[in-house]
Parts: sequence; C-alpha cells; structure tokens
Amino acid sequence: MKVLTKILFFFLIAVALYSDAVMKGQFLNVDYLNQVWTLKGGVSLTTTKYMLQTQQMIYFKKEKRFFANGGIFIELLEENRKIWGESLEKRNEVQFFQGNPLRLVDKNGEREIKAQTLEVRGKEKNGKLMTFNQNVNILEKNSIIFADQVIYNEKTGDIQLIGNSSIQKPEDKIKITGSNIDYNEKTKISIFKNTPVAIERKKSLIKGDKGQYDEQDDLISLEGNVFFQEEKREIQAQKMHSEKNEDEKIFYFSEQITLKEGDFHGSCDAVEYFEKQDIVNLKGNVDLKDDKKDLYIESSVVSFDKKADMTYFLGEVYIKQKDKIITGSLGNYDKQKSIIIVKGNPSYRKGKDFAKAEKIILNTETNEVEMIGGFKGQFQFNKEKDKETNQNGEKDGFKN
Amino acid sequence: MKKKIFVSFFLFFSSCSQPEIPAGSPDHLVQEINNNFQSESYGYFSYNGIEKEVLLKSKKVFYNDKNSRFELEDMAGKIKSGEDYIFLMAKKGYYKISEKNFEFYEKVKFVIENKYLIEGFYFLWDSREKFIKGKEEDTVFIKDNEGVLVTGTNFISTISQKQFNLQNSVIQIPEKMAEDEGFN
Repeated sequence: MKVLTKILFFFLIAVALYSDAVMKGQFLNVDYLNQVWTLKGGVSLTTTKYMLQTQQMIYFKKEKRFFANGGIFIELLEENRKIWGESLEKRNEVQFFQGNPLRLVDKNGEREIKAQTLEVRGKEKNGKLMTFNQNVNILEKNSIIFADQVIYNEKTGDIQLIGNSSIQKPEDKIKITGSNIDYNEKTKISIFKNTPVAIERKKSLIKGDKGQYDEQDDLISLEGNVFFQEEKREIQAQKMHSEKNEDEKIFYFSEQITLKEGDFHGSCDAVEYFEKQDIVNLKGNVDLKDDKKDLYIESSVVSFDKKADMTYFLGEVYIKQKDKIITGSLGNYDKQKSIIIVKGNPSYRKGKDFAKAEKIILNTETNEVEMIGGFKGQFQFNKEKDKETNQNGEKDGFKN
Repeated sequence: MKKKIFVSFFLFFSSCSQPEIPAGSPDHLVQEINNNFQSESYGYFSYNGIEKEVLLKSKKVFYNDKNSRFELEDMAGKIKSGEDYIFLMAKKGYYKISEKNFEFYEKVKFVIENKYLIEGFYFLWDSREKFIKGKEEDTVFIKDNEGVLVTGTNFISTISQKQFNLQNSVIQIPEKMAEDEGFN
C-alpha cells in the first residue's frame, strides 16, 4: 500500500512538472507555406489550463488562433468548468463557443448553463468576462435564470441579464421577470435599473419601474409605479421597501398610495404591511370606501388585522354610510358581524339629527345605529319620515 | 534510496509522456550539412539529372551490381525543393537506377523550409512525384525552430504543395510558446 502511495505521489510530481501543451490527432496536415496545421480524428489538446477534445482542429499559426469543430468538449482545470458544444474559436484572449445548445457545467456540477453561443474574454487575474447569447438558461441549485443574453464577470460575480429575463427560485416561490436585470451571485442582489420588473413572491405579485431585490434576506426595494397584489389586496404607490424584524417581514409603501383591501378601496399617505401577522396599517389621511355598502371611512390610522378579520381606526375617525355620519377618535370594524363600534367621544349625525354617546355602533348591513351610554342628542321628528322608516323596519336604537 | 526511486520514476514518466527529442535544431543540421559539403573527407556523389535536384556527398560510395543501385554510407545531401533545399543526413543511402528513387536508412535527418527538422529510420525521396515519405509504421520525429515537437507515423511531404502529413500525431508545444500563441 505504501509503495502504491509513493508511486502515485511521484507520478503526480512528474505530471506537475510536465507542463507543455500537447495536441494529439489521428491525422495531421501541416501547410508550412501558409502556416496552417490541421488535426483530424480524435483530436485532443492538453495545456496547463485546460483539456480539449474535438474531431477537427485547425491552427492558424500566423494569426495565433485555432478553430475546433465537430463536437467539442473542454475541461478548464483552474475554473473546474466543463463545456460541451459544436465549435470553438480561440484567438488571443478571446474564446468563442457555439453549440445547439452549448452546455457549460461548473461549481462542482452544481451549475449548468445552456446557450447558443459563448464568448469568453480576458484572463483570470482581471476576471474573465463571459457573454452567453440566445436562449440562455442558467440552472443552479435553487435557481433558474433565463435571458436573451447574459454577461458574467467571474471575478466580481456580476451577472447582467439582457433582453427578456427572469430569475426563478422555485423552492422559495420567487420569480423575478424584467427586461434588464443586474444580478450579483456573491451578494445575491438583483438590481433593476430603470427597467420595469415583476416579482412573483409566494402569493404576491410586486411590480415597479426600478429597484433591487436582496435574495439572502428576501428584501425588496422598488420605485416608480409600484404595484403590490395579493389575494383581495392591491396597493399602488411610488415607493416600496421591505425590512426584516426577527422572523417578521414588513413592507413599507409611500407616495401617491391607492389601495384595495377586501371590499375597501381608498388612499392614504403610508402603508405598513406585516406579512407574517397579516396586518396592514394605513397611516395619514386615510380614506376608504366600500361601494357595495355605500360606506365611507376617514381616519388618521387604519389597521386591518386579516387573521382576526378586524379593522381598527385611530385618530380622527369619520364614518359615513348612506346619510348617517359617525365620528370619534377610535373604532373597530368586525366584518363578520358587519358592525363598526366607534368610541372616544363619538358623535352621530344624520341631516339635522345629532347625538353623542359613549359608544356608537353602526350595523353596516342594515345601516342601523345603536348608541350606548351617556346619550345626548337632538332629533327632528318628521311624521312622514317616521311613517316611512317604520314601514321599512329601520329604527335607530338608544340605550342609556 | 528515495532519491533514486524519485529520479527513476520521474524519468520513466517523463519518457512516457514526451516524444523523443531529436538532437540539435534545424539550423544546426543545415550548418552541419554545409560543413560536410566543404569537408575533404566526403566523397562526391551527384544525381543532377536535368534539374540538378539532388546533390549528395558521402564517406563511402560504391555500386552494388546485384541490386543495380548505388550505395552511400555516412552521407549528407541537398535536395532541391522549390526555391529552397531539403538538407539531409543519413547513415545509408541507396539510389536505384531503374526507379530513380533515393532511399535513406538509419539516423535519417532532414530539414525542410529551414524550419522543420525531421528524423526517422527510413525515408524515400520520389524524384518524379517530388515527395519524401517514411514507412507507414515508422515513427517520425519532427522539431521546428521554435521548439515544437511532433511525432507520428506514415510521414509524407509533398514538396510542391509545401505540406506534410502524419498519422497518429502528437504535437508538443513548449509552455512559453503555448502562452504566446494563444493556446493557454
């Protein structure tokens, strides 16, 4: 066993010392007038940096370039990268591969790239620039990248996706679609420079004109015509970014906000969305409308708690349904029961009728109002109206 | 002991992976042949024909009556190849009158285009078709003046087309040249 180990050791040393480039082929033709060398049949080229196998290789000595075709396989030793294709042209520091498709595998077999052509420029120390063209498909662990063209800088890790592009992370349920995406494989950040982008993330669709996505922390920052959509939720804004707080993800929206939340639609100055808790907070000049119920709400702050199916109002609360107006400083809306309870010095108004109570309850289905505790009010009774309301079964309740 | 084992293994693997390097260089061989032509110890044999295409000198020349051929030993020669010459050295050379071909045996070395030094056991110069070729199974060694080494079998060079062909070829390019020529 020891002897075998020694043999292997010495063999490796001998191989390491042997560092010339070696070409082999079944048939060699040397045109020494034009300095063109042609190798055919089981051609191989082994250098210190790579090993190439092909069926034909033409070496244009004067021009210091060679062309290999008829099916090529190249193994780049330093990069631990393998490429299969139809042809390779190598001139100085430029290598041009073609295939249908050509296939590149690296990162210990964990990444596969397919494209029609590949151009490699530069040397290792400056970072090789690899340009993949036509139907580029990068498959790596938990990600699939598509683009018309991909420019990859190995040293910086920059991957520029050009044309119709997408980055998909099936396990994380993320798909980013855009026309030009700058992705960095080291920082795992995608940048969208003035190119509209759509991010499908779990159950949400997020769009914007520019911004970035941090894959590691799953954080998004977008600007310009931001559109956020989830089931029964739509938010439009000019800016959006997300933050991470322990295991909670918070989305912040600002500028020119309009939104739909369940049956409501409206606007406000800012939105905070706590994804895990499924809570949406609307802040500053909130106005909401439920057209089906002819319900209009203004408040300084509105909080939708979707898990509890409750909506909370805080600040200057103004609620109007049909001709009834209720104001107060806080309230809540139980959607299951169709009841809005307003507290904090609440008041009721309907035409010239006016009342105050400790708590005012509006039934949004029946438009009935109930006032509880400390009732004070002023009502104008109208015989015709009373008759009409009694016939309709509508009646406001007062409890002291 | 370890040193010996290392050296022997190194030599063994080196010899396995590299072709045998022909001694000298194309320039040296041309120089040597030119010197031989000036040397008085070389007898003169010429097959000039009309074109004066072959000029040979050797230390021994005799006519083998049985085989109807001239036999030369320890010879040097020049074969006209377009504007240039093929410079050639061999231990033995035969000229068969009937076939008008030259056969060269043992330690045959020749230079074409002042660039490629070719070495092998046997080569034949066909003066009518203007080609020089080795035996099909014989390994030929080629070295150019940039240090490229080529080995292969079934060598043939058609002088008029300024080409040569080999089979089962192995080309070894020095690392520096591989770097300069864009292989790396």
